[in-house]
Amino acid sequence: MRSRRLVLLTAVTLVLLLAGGAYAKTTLTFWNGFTGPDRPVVESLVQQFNDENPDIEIEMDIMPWDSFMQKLMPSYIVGKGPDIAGLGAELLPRLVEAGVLAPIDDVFTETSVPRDVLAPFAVDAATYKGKLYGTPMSSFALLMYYNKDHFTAAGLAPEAPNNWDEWMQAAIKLSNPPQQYGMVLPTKESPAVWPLLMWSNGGGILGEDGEVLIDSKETKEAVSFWADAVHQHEISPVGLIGPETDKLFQTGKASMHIVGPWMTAGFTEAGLNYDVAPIPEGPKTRATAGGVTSMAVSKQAGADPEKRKAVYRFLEFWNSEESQIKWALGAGFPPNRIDIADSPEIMAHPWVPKFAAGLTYAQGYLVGTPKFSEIESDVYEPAMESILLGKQTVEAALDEAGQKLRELVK
Amino acid sequence: MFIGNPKQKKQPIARHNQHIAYLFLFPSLAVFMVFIIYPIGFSLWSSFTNWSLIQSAEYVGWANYVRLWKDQRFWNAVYNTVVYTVGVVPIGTMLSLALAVALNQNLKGTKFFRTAIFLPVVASTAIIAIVWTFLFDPQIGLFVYYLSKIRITMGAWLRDPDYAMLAIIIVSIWKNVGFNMVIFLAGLQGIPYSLYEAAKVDGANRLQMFRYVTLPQLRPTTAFVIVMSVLGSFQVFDQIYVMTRGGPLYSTETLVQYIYHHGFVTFQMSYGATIAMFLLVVILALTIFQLRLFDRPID
Amino acid sequence: MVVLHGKRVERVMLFAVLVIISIAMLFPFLWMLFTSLKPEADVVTWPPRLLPRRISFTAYKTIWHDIPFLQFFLNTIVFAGGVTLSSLILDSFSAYAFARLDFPGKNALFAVILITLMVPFHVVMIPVFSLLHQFGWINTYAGLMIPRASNAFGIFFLRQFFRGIPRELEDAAFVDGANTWWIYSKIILPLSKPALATLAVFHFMYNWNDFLWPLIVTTSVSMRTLPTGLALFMGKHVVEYASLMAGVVLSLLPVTIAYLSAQQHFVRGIALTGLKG
Repeated sequence: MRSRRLVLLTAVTLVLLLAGGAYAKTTLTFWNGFTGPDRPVVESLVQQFNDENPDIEIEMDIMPWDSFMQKLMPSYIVGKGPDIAGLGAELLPRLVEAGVLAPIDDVFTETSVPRDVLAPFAVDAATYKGKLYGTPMSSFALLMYYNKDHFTAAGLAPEAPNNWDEWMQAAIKLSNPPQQYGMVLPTKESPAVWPLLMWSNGGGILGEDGEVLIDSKETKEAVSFWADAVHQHEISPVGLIGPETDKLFQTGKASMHIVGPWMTAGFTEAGLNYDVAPIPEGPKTRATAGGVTSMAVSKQAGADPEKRKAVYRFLEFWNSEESQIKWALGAGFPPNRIDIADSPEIMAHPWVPKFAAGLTYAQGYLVGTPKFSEIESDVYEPAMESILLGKQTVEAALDEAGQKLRELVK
Repeated sequence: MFIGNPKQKKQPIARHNQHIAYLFLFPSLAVFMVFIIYPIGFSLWSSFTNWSLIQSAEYVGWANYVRLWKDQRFWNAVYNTVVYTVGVVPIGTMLSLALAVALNQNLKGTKFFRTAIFLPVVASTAIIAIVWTFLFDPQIGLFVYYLSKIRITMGAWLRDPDYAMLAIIIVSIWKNVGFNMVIFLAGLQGIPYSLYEAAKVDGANRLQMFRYVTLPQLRPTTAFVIVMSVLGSFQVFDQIYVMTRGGPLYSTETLVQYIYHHGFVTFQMSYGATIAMFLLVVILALTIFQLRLFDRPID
Repeated sequence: MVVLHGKRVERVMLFAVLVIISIAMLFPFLWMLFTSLKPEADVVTWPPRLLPRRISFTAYKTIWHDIPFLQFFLNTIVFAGGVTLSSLILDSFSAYAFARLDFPGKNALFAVILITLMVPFHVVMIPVFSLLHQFGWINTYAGLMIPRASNAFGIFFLRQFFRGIPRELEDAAFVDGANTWWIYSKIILPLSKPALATLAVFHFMYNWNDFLWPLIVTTSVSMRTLPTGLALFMGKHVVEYASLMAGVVLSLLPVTIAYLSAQQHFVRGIALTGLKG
């Protein structure tokens, strides 16, 4: 009697287990800051993944970047962080130090996306102290947008300048403040325009091995070259923050603008006659700044074999050729994969191929340091602002910045 | 303590059962204790540690407070906060009182004016700040454009360290004047009409009625408006975050802006909490002072 | 023209000033409304235009289709409405105790209540979040609403108002043997309609617009409120101004309606005036 009941119980349990197994879904949470026009593209790719993988469910939460950070930290603290988070390179090292992310060095061998098909700087951006913590979700390089009508009106050929001297001459010639400015040089909340000018002259803020470059001769030369022109010829308004620069270019108040691929849609829709070109070559080199959002895996998800497998499947899906073509054509970003940059679908797009070309030599801005925010807000921004506002000389401001930076990275 | 008036005569209400008061207070206090006072206590504790959201905390004694004392950027934020408060509170209070008095009489269109002036309060500060940034833009803003039509040039206020705070103050007054106006209106409604009639019999003119009837009768309301405005001003955040991010050159960086910077940009939460404790002590002292000054019950 | 009477001149001038102020108040809202009726490409232009070159309802269609607008809208009503209701009740309890009752520790407790207004949310956010997590209240209505169930601003506001109510009625009732609860519910509350209506608008508005709190507490789209939904149109690099403004225009409507209907209550003729006369 008793044993029969036991058998029955076991059978029922087994059936339940089997049935459960067949329907068991691995649920992954995925948070990112892709609001705005990129959101529908991200959503449709995630939807496609969910449809194609009935055993995995990605629950995505998209929110604006700054509130994303505010939600992310407390959530990680109580162990409720997302399994996958779309993180900027500036934040990643700090979170690694905090011990909330899982290294995923085997992702290139476990999935069908090998390391060498991805833009090198984009992989580096997710690497900290020799370990990999994410694969790229999106990557971009800055290019120079220029207004062709302005060039023609100023008696210039509607072509981008090639070197700094041509560039400076064009900037001065195109400036007729306050009606029109040759350039827009933002100092805050913006892509790394000043840093890439520093790099072009062999300077920078912080070198690859952590050496302080912000008070080097090369950096000072580069900053003086452009800041003097701002002071003498008003080639750019001062005190600009990122979004303002976009508005100035869009309204035809600025002739040249260094920014990422996301503005092409808006500028085209506004009817601007413009083109994009590589950043003109500097005295030392041609440089551009790249930006990366990496999909980073939380420690909990990394430790759970089931989840880890599902996460890898999603990362693989995201950087598959097919998805990357959809992403590039939908969002206007260059594909993360450099091996499909010359595929016919990509080449047919008016802008993406140009941005993809930029990815091959792009550098990350202040990547690989957990002190990104301190360096940006205590060292770099105040130095540039006080130079451009005429509160300090280039020499004095950058010397002071160098001192502060040494203190910070000591 | 500070709120009670020592000279206040014993009220008949004292005959109520005292303990029932705690029943009335219990629900609110329970919510506050759990969701605000405990977290404040937590912050107080963390200001004596090196808690950074991510590393486990160690006791560091007064180190954060010593750092505060020497931190120029912190004192700059204190200065900016005071400038903001002094710029916003007196003008904002007087303007809202004037509007409330004006709109408390039978004027044509009163309802429309009240609604128009209140509308900025209804929208969220962040959205309002986006709109004003557009309007204030020195190159493509509507204001600059209209002014250029009549040949007036307007500087780039939000990008100029000398003017950015002024722009923030203007927007803040614009945003909040309707809020205080409505509070004053509610207060004005509570003034018995008989007092005005009595004053009229005594031959008082309108200015005298305002001086000797309206103002004293409005005292609890005024106390409330000023106390709350100072509280709010010391914690200004949204409009600055959207319009200038504390710039240019830290010229609009206020205390809460700086707390945010340490909490969610550099993740030094313990230092952010230290600044918050400083802020708490300052506001508390100011509030006690103001309540002593203004908040005597009228008899 | 006839010589204007002194008082009349004054009235006309006052009227003119009020008209100017109202224009200053309304102008940014006109900009919002007209921006919401522009195609996205027409928002940022030189010369800037207040009026749309052509009227387009694309932005309204976008917010309707791109986000679950109706659901966000209903969630916001539940959240803001629920919090307003509970806060009015609890705030008036406490305010009554502070305004009218004597009890040991009164001043200390009032100070504690005021202190809750003196710390920025960013500072207490993390401990509050941990608490909600321990209670299992993340992504629940309880988590969204209970921490907001009472509000020190409301207590202070009502305390000031209650103190202005003449005591004669209460004394008379007290002599007739009424208890504290009766006085609170039958005398104080009915006399405080203007203040309660005002406070209701403030609470509703504040929670209606709140962004960070609902975003932190909720984790699923089905629990989200309107401001968090509208924020989806603010990209890191590109803001979809027309859609954002369309959402703002629609979200302003209920609060404006709440204000207009509450305004009736503090227009005139509240019981107090008749009381003493």
